[in-house]
Amino acid sequence: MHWKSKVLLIALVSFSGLAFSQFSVQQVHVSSNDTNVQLITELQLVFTEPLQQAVDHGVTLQIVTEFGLPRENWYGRGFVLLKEFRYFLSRNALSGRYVVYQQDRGETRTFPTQTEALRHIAIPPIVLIPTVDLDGAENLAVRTFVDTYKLPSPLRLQAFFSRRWSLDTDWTLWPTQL
Amino acid sequence: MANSTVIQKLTHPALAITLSLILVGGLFGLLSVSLDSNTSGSFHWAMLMLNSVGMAVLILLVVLNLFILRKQYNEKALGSRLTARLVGAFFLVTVIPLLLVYYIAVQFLSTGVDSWFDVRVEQAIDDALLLGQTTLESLQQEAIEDIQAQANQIRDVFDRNELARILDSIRQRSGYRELSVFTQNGTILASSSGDASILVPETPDDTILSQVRLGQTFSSIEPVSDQNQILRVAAPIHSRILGRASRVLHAKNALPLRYAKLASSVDEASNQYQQMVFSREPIRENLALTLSVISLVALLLSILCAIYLSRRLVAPLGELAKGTRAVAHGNYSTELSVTSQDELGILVSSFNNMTSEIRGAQQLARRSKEESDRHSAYLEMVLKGLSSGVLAFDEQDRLTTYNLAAEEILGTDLASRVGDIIVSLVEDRTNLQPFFEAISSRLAEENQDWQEEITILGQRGRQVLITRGAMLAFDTSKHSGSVIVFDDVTGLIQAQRDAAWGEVAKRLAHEIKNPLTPIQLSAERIRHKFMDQVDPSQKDVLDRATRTIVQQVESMKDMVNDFSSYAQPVRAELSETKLQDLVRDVAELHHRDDKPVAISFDIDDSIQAIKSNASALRQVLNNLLINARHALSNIEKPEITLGLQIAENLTGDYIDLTVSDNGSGIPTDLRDSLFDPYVSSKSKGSGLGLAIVRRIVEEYGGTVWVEPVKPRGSCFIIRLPMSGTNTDK
Repeated sequence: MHWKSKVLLIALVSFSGLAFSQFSVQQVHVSSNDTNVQLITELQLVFTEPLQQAVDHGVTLQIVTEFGLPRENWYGRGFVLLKEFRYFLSRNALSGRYVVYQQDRGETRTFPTQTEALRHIAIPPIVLIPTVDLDGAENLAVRTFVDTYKLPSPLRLQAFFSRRWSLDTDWTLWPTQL
Repeated sequence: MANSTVIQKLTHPALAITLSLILVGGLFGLLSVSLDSNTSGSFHWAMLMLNSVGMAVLILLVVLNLFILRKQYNEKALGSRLTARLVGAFFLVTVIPLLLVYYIAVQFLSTGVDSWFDVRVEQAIDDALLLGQTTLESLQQEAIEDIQAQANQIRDVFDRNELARILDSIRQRSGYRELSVFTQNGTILASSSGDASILVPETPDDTILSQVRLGQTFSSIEPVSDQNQILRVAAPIHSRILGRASRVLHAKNALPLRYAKLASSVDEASNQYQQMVFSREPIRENLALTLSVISLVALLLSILCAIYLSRRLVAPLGELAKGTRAVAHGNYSTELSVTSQDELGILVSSFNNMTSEIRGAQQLARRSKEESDRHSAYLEMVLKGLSSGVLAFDEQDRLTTYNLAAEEILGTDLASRVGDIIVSLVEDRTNLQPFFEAISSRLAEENQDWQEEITILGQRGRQVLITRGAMLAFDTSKHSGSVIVFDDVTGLIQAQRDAAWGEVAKRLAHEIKNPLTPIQLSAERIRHKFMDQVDPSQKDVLDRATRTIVQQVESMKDMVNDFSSYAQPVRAELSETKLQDLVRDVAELHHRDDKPVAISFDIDDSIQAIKSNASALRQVLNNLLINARHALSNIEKPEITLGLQIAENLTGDYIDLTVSDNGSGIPTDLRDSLFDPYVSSKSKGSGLGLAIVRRIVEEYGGTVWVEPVKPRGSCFIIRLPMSGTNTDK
């Protein structure tokens, strides 16, 4: 396969802030050939204290990284989902290690610290998107968030309405071609 | 209009009922989410949104209804006070028990949640966890000791094939799942695996490698699935040969299933308990919030219910009020719709029956009034057609009804006097005083029926009114007023009197005049035949006797001629006559030197000439002047005043021609009959002069009467119409 590789380092800025963001998209490497677009993404994931406490108290958090195409709809800009990576982060009480389960691969990894576990999640697998699926789109979008809908119900109410719980990079765009 | 329609729709109970059902469902959903942690987050979010929107709409509805109620209250709209009171009562009745229940429920939930966390349970879980950890550490220690022994066994084996063979032997002997040797950088040197599908062994992560590089061993138990855990150990391989670098022996082995299950169970129990502890405050807050929302919804719904219920109760009352207002304004056709069969419905039905009966009574009254109006119109028409004057008085002797003939006979305007009591009617009509005084005294006597001939001085002079009265008594025991009917019979009496005298005059003239000529001729024949034959001494007697007979016959002829002229109608030859000149001309004829009388004039020279028979009027004036001179024969300073003025205080235009003197005056007993034939206060005269005067004056549509003059004398007044004579009548 002949790759016409292009590497782009884009400083992505989400609406939620710059250096102080808990969750942010750090780097996206885009390369493409005639048939596929390859995405190598690097995120920055830092938990707030409530989320750290929740994991340390046996709560399993679901962290989702999504790739999509922006689409203009009747209500404004929407996104068509192309790929999703869902990670389950929990703590094993017996061993005291942090367990990361990646749903799409069915793979479980353990880490001695939360930071290492998050660092693992922050580098999702390489994504290959067929060019035909882009449908001529000039931009692609990525986002990562803590899925508050999957929290235990007693924690949802504060998670729905608190920025300390609902960490989200929001959709971040970058061009598919240079 | 559009706004009121929107408000009506917004405040319609159907909206509140629908909203209430949605909110009850939403609250039930929210409560179930709060109590069950396995419900989906989407459902949880949907319930939150549903309840938030429902609450907002409910609050909006309550505020809108309260705003409308306040506006109605300020405008003092019917039923607004009752509605406000009911809303207040509902609020109090609801809020007090609701607060109590709310407080108790919050307390109960708080203690209930706290009861989930028992110290002994927590201790047991901690102990179980500690026990599990100790057991696993023991397993790990055994594994470490074993892996260290294996590391010593291969510390001087550097050939990869030999190393792989020995690892395979150790793995089979010790039961490891995977056994590998790496460099300190993580490069694989040799490996043995029990799983044929694994071609490349798992490389230990940096944490393991760095720890082993420090000469320490590493062990960990890692979950790979729900109930499968592996035991991972790593140990340094130190060679006894100088210059050889240390290596890393890395081994993985499945935790025995029994241990794995127990470890998983302990881990799960510990996690759940920790999660419960972590969720304790949020659970309490969620339940408190749910209870608060339920309480608030109950409170708001109770207020809405109170408003709608009050409106439903008050609405028929409002309709009734509108109906009564309509009835008060005379609209008896108001028919209210009966919307319920309860007491209010009975009340509305009773109102409808009442209006129906009033409507019937009103129609009856209207028919009666129409009948009465017809009767009144008929009566008015009859009264208008009557030539007799009619006056009606109420029980307090106030004038209530009159007719046109009454005004004409009395010569006064009665329209402005309706409602005046009878004694006040004479205030500005002194000439009518005898009439109204007579009536007043009759009314005071309260005679049922009476009749009286009343003489007044009307606009045409003396008027004789035949007046009849009757007392009205609609209720036999009570006087209800009187009705007076009167006729002016002046003309009739005079006509009857004149006709009688005319007939007498004609007969007398005929019966007396016929024999007079033979008597006169016979007397002259006797005189002529026997004058020469009688004794001269008797000649003088015969001469005086026959002369007396002839003179008396002549006198009787004159008297008969006067009678004839009285009896004959006046032949009018009308011409424009200036009365001022006529009066002065006739007065000039009566200036006599032997018997001087001072004649003065009170004449209005602005009076226009009228159409009349001048010779007849001269005769009238002449007769009156002759009578005046006779009346002044023994008066020391005789004076006659001739007047010609416009008559005052009368409707219509009349001229008063007056002849007044300062003579002895007319005896009172002769005044009423003075103008009758053969009535005279003089010793001489035929007694026909004034009768002829009256006849001529009346032929010209006038009247004549006499009034005393103070201190002495008489005044003859002839009242003539300014429009001229009226001989056609």
